[in-house]
Amino acid sequence: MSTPNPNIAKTSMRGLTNFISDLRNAPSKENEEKRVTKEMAHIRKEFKENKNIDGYARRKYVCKLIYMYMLGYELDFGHMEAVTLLSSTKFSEKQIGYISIAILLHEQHEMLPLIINSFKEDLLARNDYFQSLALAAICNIGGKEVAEFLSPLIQKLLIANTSSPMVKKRAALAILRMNRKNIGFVTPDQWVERLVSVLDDSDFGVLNSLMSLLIELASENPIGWESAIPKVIQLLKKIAINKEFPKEYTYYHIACPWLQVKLLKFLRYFPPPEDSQGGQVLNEILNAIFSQSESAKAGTVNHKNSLNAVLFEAINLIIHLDSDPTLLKQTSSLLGRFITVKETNIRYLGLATMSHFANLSNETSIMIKKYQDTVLLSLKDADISIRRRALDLLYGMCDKNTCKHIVAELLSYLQTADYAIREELVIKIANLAEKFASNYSWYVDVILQLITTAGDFVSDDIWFRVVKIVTNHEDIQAYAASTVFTALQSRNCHETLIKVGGYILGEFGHLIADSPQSSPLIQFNILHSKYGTCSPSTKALLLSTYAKFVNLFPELTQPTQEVFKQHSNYIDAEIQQRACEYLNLTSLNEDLMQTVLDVIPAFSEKDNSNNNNINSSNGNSQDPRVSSGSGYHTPPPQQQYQQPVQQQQSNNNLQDLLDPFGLGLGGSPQPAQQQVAQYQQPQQQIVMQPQQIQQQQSPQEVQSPFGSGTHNFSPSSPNGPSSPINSGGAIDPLQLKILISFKRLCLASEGVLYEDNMLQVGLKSEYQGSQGRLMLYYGNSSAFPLTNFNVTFNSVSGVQLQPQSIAPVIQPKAQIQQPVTFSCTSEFTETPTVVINFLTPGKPITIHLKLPIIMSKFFDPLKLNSGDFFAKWKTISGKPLEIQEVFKPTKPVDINQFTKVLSDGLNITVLKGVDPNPNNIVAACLYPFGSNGQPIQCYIRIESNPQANMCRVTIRTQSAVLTNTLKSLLIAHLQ
Amino acid sequence: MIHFLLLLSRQGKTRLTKWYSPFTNKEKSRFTREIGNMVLNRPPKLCNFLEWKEYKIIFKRYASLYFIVCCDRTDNELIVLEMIHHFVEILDRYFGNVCELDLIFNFHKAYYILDELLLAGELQETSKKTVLRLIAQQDAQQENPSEHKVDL
Repeated sequence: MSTPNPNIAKTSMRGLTNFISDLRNAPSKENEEKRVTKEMAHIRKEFKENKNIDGYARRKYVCKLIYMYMLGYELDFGHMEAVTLLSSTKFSEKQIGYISIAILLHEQHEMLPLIINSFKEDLLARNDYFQSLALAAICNIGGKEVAEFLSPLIQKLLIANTSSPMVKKRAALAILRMNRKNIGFVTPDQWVERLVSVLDDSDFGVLNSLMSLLIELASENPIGWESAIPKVIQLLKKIAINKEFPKEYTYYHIACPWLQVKLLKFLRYFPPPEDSQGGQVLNEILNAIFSQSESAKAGTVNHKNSLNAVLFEAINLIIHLDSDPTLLKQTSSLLGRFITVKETNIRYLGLATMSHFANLSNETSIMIKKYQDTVLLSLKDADISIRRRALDLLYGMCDKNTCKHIVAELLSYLQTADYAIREELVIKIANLAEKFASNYSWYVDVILQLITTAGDFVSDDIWFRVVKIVTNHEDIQAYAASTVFTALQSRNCHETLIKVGGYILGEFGHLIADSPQSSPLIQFNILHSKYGTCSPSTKALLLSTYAKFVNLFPELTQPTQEVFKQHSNYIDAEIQQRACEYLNLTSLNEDLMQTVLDVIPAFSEKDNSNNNNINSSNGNSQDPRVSSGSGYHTPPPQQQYQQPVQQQQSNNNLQDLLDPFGLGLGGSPQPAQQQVAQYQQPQQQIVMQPQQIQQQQSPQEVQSPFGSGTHNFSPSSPNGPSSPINSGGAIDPLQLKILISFKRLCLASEGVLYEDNMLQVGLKSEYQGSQGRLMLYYGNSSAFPLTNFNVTFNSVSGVQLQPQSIAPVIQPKAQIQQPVTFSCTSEFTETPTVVINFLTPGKPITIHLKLPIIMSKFFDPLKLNSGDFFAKWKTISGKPLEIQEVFKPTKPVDINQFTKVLSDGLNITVLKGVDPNPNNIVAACLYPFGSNGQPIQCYIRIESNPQANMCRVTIRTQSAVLTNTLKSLLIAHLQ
Repeated sequence: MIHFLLLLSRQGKTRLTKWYSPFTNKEKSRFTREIGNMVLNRPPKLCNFLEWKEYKIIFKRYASLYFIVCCDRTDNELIVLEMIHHFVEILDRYFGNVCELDLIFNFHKAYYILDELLLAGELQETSKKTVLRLIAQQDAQQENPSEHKVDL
């Protein structure tokens, strides 16, 4: 195409080229390794011994090292030489220096603080190129420290008239990077005026970078950045309507597509312009963009892509504004065209955008109804990405009228769909069938068909749901029973079908028992013919079904008791327990049997199960419910309290991941099941023989959801956190949860502090110097208002809390916030607490919570080298200033994990290279607020023996109080 | 934002990587492998976008090289695709009919051209002319370093 660039030859290094050739020509991996080892040794020697090494050689060697590093070889030296190149006055050397640190270092690299000074010098140099290099490096690897030291300088470079465009655009991105690493670093009150003024810059490169920055800031929080809107609209007008822009920014006949996309995207973070003029101009702009859409049919692929990129961004903005009916109509027909074009990319995006469009309002979803057949056709596209989008869109398009058609299409697609999409498909079909079912017999048919076609992908949630719906709707019970009965006749039933069948026949089999084709004995025989091949959990379920049969059909007593007897010594504890219980239950006392084995009452409708699942577009079933074998009823006593723990626990984890403060996922999982379990508990215990309880408790303990973790909190563990749990073995799940939340928040700055099915308390914290600030979020997860809401804070000596007052009522599903400020005046050993009181319609509630305000939150870093550390270490000894403690971690010793807990969670500086033994940690921190007004230095050593899995921690500080607190903290969090 | 950029050869060899988000070395090699498998085995004519983890993968093949970008799901796919093309055009213009070997032997140049185009995971300059001019100016710096002593 064009001639080779003469600069390449001029600026290349022959030694480097030869070296790369050598490695490329190496006949085998071993030869390559040999060559690398040789070169490494040579370079190491040069760096070490050649005092007069010149810039060129250093540059060349560093390049070779990077090349080896890129091939995957470890580098244990050379970083220093790369840093030396930074301070060279020659551009070529500096450039290689900067490129190499961007490759070799990362934002947390220990060498980064060393080079902040080099950055500073180059930023101050009156040389655009040096400034640009430093700014690029900050964009690549800048972290918190860079932001602290250099932000005023970078801000100045962005705003100064003397800065060249090259410097300005990089400065804008450097600020973006610093804000990303330090969210909230750029605040509107200090920056908005300056940043908006840069929007007047005439250089489009600068505007482009600046818009990236503004989008990032608006996406974080749009409030405060509104003043940029008029200028952004003006700029768009200039480009899209007036066509005023530098020629070199035309890309395949499109006016600066990148900038247009960014400008449009920025506007999406704000409500529609309030002034009618701004709104009108915006409409003109969008119309102008749409008017070009015809030209996307011809031209090069690049022309089409960039034009369509702008069009899609405009469509997204129109969807966001949702105001102009004409534009919406045009959008609909444009999208209709997009989903039929030849280019796969456009079809993909067309389907994705149409999904958003369909979800916008009733009108928009009606507008696109006419494309339903095209979308159905896309389900058969060769590309799975397209099929996924089509499925999503169909899901959104479905309504009462189209549902039967769409579900039928999806079911037929399910037969041939590939495995990657099946799970998602199954969940979506199940949801649609439930959501739009006009009669539930259709729903039951659909689900049974799902199980037959793709049983492996039908998660437990789905069949739980069928069971619930059938239980709650009397009119379909007989139909459901006869349908599953028919389905069970098939030779190869899926196990899920057996579960559903077992449950439904157990409950409602009597409704069809009069027919000679489905007499009780036939029902029992058909279920029991599948029994042998089932998994233990299904077997357990079937045993319960048999027990139910006995209650309804006395003629089955003999064959079922036969089965129970066979299993009374069964190897699986769960099955054995059920068999023993049911055997006794069905033979001892008829009244009791009738009560226990009565029909399950209707489930509470509050728990609308699998609709949540659909939010994840991958469709992974993440429902917190755990499908233990006793999923259905009469779980043995142990599980009666363990199960809720397990559920709440996993539910909690889920919430942390998805929605730490919001209430969107609230609602207690499966209240119905718990109710049933509680309701049946008393009778169960009467039946249990004491001896049996004993016999079964031990295997049950193994199944405990907390497994080996349980003794973490048992009172016998030395120096563990003070445990509110009684020693009877009955763990109060709520207390345990509170404890876990508290412990986690001791290490983190935000998260959930407390949660039950009525109230969620979230917390965010910030610390600066001796000041701290908490934001507490109280969310009402219940269906009724919480009144007389009152929170009392208990300060402790050393920390004085100052809460702001809050409203006394929280409406259902609403959330209120309460800021609390406090300052630390001396060491403190106790933890501040809060008491939350409120009234529910039923009764007053009081909740006691500890606040995660602990001394480590105030720690400052303390960096020491080996000599200093040991010099100071030796000055303190003996109790009570020194404490040593041995503990056994519950998990295998993991030094990296320890380091993380110390440095990330407890703000303690881990000193590297002080102790040569890799199993030991030496660390230090500074507590700035000693009681005598002096800061206190703390020194910590942790020695571990991985073989024995034992650790010893030694702490020395100038304050006995601090030493002791620190010890408890470390053991609590490391153990 | 762009989280990383990979250049893989058809055989799956890594030719250039640039990470804009912090990942550990282990993650980096796992991701490279994972994405390489996905992209290299994808039949032609399918769309250039893949959903992967919480991100989106956008890729395009040029001769024997795959250019792969991992960005946020909220990013505009087509404009990212064109950004890849923009990068390729600049490489092509700079090296004069760029080929895989140019990027191997002049990897350091590839990096600084990339820095001129993309920084902090965002597109920095969209004018081909400007990028090439700035690179030429920096190349020129290499020859007369004495004229640009640091002036404090």
